[in-house]
Amino acid sequence: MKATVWCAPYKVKVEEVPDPKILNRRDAIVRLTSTCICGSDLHLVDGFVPFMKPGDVIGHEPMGIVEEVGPDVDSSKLKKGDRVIVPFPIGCGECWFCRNQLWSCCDNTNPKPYLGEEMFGQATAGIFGYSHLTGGYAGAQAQYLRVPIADVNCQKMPTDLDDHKLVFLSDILPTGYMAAQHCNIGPEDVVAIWGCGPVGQFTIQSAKLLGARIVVAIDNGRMVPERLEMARRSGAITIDNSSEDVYERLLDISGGIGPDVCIDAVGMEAHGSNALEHVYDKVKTWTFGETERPAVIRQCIECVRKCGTVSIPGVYGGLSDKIPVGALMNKGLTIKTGQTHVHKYVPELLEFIKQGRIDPSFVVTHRVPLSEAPHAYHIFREKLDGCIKVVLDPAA
Amino acid sequence: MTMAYSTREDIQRARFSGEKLQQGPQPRRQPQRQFQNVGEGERWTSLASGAILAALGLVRNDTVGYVMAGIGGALAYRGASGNCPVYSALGINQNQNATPQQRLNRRGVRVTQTFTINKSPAECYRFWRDFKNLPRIMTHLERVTDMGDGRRSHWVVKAPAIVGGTVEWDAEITDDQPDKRIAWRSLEGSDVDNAGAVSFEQSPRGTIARVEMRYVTPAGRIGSWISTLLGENPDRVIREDLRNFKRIMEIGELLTLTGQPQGTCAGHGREYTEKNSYMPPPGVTR
Repeated sequence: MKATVWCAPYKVKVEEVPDPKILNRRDAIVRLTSTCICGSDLHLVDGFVPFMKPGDVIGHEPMGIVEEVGPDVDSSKLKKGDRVIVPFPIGCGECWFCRNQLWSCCDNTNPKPYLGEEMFGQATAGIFGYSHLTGGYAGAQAQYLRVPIADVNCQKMPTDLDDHKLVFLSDILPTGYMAAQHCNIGPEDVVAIWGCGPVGQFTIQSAKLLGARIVVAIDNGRMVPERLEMARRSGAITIDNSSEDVYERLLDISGGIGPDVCIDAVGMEAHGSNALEHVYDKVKTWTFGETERPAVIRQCIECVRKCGTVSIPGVYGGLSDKIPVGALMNKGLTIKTGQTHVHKYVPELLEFIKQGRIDPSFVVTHRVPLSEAPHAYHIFREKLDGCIKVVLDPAA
Repeated sequence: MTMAYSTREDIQRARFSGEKLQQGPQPRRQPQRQFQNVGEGERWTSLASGAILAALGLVRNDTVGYVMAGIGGALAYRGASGNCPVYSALGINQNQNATPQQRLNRRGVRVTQTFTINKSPAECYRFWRDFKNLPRIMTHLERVTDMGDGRRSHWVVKAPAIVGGTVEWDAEITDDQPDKRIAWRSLEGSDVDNAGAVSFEQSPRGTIARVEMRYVTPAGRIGSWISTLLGENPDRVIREDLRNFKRIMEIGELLTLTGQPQGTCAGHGREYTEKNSYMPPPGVTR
């Protein structure tokens, strides 16, 4: 089959690789019909995530049709021919974390937990195609995907909805939703969201859906005007951080109090709020003084109101420098974060999609054949051709 | 079994084998004379290199030289007396005339691990009590067979032909409390002296399983093979094996990656490079 393979930083290829086989008795093989490139895949391409090996198949946002099931898959839950999305974290459904709906922290599905234990103290769940730190599972930017513990991890989908409405249930829609949902947004609240990429767009929609009074979206109007435009269409007030002072504007919008909730939908490769900060972080990462550029977390902590909440759906992987813990403590902030517990949110979000309250397909700007993946990575990374979200077509 | 304990080793052994410590005043024994804990070959090496170092230091006749002479003197004393204070502080004994139990206590590698398992203590106990199940969780273990009396078992570990194809030992159960605790240890004449214990405790989140294993790497070819097998981090290998116990209990299988698709990066696939192998579409500027 064709698959997108990570070879080195800045080097992604589409190769012919062996088809996946049933390896465990509860595995299933899914023939993919749509599979996406995620913003977090760019962290792999840019070499920000350690524990990648040349030849690793990447990708973690798939949907498709169940082609084959292992002998121990519960046939009342999953059978051949079912249309499914596959959440990016792999759950076991049995450990304490899965039973408490904390799926991305599953105890059992990461086959290489010793890496996570050394990096983070405890290991998190296995994730498809996202480095050996999260298990080293073959990824989903391919024509077929092996899904372990398939009756728990394949989420059945209705057949009357378009792929583009459903495929984002695998990652970015629940990620945007969880980022807003676990902040207890109330009807008085001002919610500020950094980053208007696909996750940011869904966070904006989710904050609206959860009843926020004002949603503010922040991004760079010189580099990605189309993303700010999309945010405006979703009903957000936008701040262009290339020409406006984010802190001043946020204070003004929130009546001098500061936003109740600040959400970092950017992650580890932020471009600082000013040139000096960006150069500082660049130098620190080059000299291994830190592994990422936490400019947005810093700004979130600075801008959020006293006793407010900072939510971090953006991906971080290592160690950061100059996090203002003084402000964090003295202002009495709450931090909410985590890899998304996708399985938990799929049923309610699917219901929203069926009711037409969310139509996630609006973020799609490109659908290209899987064989064009390197080109798609290029335009997505460089923000060329108005690219916001790429869906790869494995069949084309 | 109740015994009087006074040395640190005895207390360690008692903790490990689950024997009850006798409470109350103990007859105070004379402090034992420190036994020889440096191996014979090592003694001669230590004596010779210590003497040379001391001599070189004295010839230098400056501060560095005196430090060298001091270190050399200590090495020479260690070689001559056969007693190394560092070894005794670390509980290491390189002198091989000891029983398996003494070797385990003095210089065994000790690995412990604790898991919370979403099953009852009875289910966990049942799985572990049937030692035939253990090869399912311990990847290097080939088989464990019951020797007929319910207490003794025969363990076989896969090994390369160069050390005879297998490493084997007989073990006996030293403690068996249904649904609570199982302890075992290898008998005299084993290829590898080892012992283990697992205990189960009910908690609101499931069964807390505490596992402790000890082994002594023997000298010679078997020892060097075991060192290769377990790598630089024997703890990790054994811990991963024990973690498999939780996986088998909770999800019934061990997730594998062996056989999944993998690219070669040598094919003819198109490359994405930062230097832009694709031109932006017309009308778009970077």
